[in-house]
Amino acid sequence: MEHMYPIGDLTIIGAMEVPVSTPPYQPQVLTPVFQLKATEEVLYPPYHLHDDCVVSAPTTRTLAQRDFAELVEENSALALPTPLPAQKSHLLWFDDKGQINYERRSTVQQRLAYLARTHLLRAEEHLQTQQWHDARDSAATAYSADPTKVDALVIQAVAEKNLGLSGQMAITTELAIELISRDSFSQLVHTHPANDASHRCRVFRQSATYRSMSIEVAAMI
Amino acid sequence: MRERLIANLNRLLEALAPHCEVPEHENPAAAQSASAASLLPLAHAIPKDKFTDVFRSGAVLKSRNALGLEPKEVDQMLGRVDDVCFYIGSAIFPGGDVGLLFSPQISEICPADTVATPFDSGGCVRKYPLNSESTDRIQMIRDHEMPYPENRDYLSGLLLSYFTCPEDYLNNQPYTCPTCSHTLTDPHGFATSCPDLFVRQHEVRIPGEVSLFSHLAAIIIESTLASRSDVKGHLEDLVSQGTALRTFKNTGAAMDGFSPLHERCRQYIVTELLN
Repeated sequence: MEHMYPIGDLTIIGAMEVPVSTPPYQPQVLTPVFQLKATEEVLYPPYHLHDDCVVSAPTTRTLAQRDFAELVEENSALALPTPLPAQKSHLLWFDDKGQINYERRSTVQQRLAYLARTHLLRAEEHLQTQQWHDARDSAATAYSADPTKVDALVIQAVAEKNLGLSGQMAITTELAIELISRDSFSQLVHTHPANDASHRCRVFRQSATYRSMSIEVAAMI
Repeated sequence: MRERLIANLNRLLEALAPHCEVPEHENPAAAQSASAASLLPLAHAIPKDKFTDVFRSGAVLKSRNALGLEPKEVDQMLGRVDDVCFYIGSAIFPGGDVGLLFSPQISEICPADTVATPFDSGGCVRKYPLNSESTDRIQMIRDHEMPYPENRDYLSGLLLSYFTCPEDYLNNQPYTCPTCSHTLTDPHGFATSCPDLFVRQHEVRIPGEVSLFSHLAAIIIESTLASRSDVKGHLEDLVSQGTALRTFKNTGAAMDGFSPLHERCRQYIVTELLN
């Protein structure tokens, strides 16, 4: 049976996602675990999170705090160092510095969009300088901040193509086909300017090696 | 031990009376139920931060005891602290970001003391409301322990007589007579009103370790986690041995009844395993 909990009756004690604790940190909105102020029962998802209340689903569980402690111990839930009073129109989120924040929904959306753009630009810069691994990491951060950013997956696939990681490129393609057709994605990857830059650079390196060898041979003669 | 498990199975099968009698040869759902019961995977969910740890320790799932964690109360009470637990069906609460779906053929490598119960044993010990609160909850678990994979015969019987269709089992629908739609009493002794996701999910406990490179049919993973370069390498290893890769997006907020992981697992099972 559904039950409505006014937001003012709740405290946030943790989240159901445990973000990866090693860099690169992946920005994401977190699903709060609430505690009822009156009874100290813990309210888990699934629920409907509205601006001013939480409406439980028929399968929502309210459990004792020891269950939450057990989940935290086995790394299945995250405990906040300090519980936060739940507030209207706020979201709990994890940023690219590995920090947890609780801010107004509109602010969170703006900040995530900004992080997606910033890390995407960074990834593009890494592609231009053929720092393929860094390009992948920055693109993964951008994609996490905005999982609709197909550009981030294109950059990852371009980097993986140039690293010769065909198996991982196939996984990136699987992620992309949730957003775009397989053919369109393949075209974006194969026509990306960084491929040309990489090709030019390889030709340059080969010709430089050839010139260097020629000079060495000439010197020997 | 096996004799006790088989005796339990036979007793439970005999007690599994349908609410409305329909001759088996007139019931097309019989074949469907048997097929679903034999095809449903063993599911195990792991959280995001544990995924790379699993590979770091040899790509095996281990019991809490083997991981150096305090064994759960139910594991201690049952004297089974070295089990890795699965549910037959979809990966489920406590959520997590990765669902591992093992094919039923994993039974080929399961030790003889692998056991199955037609409900979550941890929930039984701790919280599910019972019809009779004087029931000894540990004895109740022992009375419902069955051998694996033979327990799938019992699951087949439940799917046929206690669910309108196999998908209702995955969707945690209440026990319902498929013929007259009457809500049925829980055949295992739990209060019919219990809404918990696990109360009708069949649990399988495999002692020891379970390798991800044996019978892992599918990995269902949150898409931003799959985009990490350190994770992709592990996914590549699994995909190269024939494991299906499916992704889902974590909506991070309002959810309709189930976690996104559960929903994606359920979708994979219904569309790619059962149909």
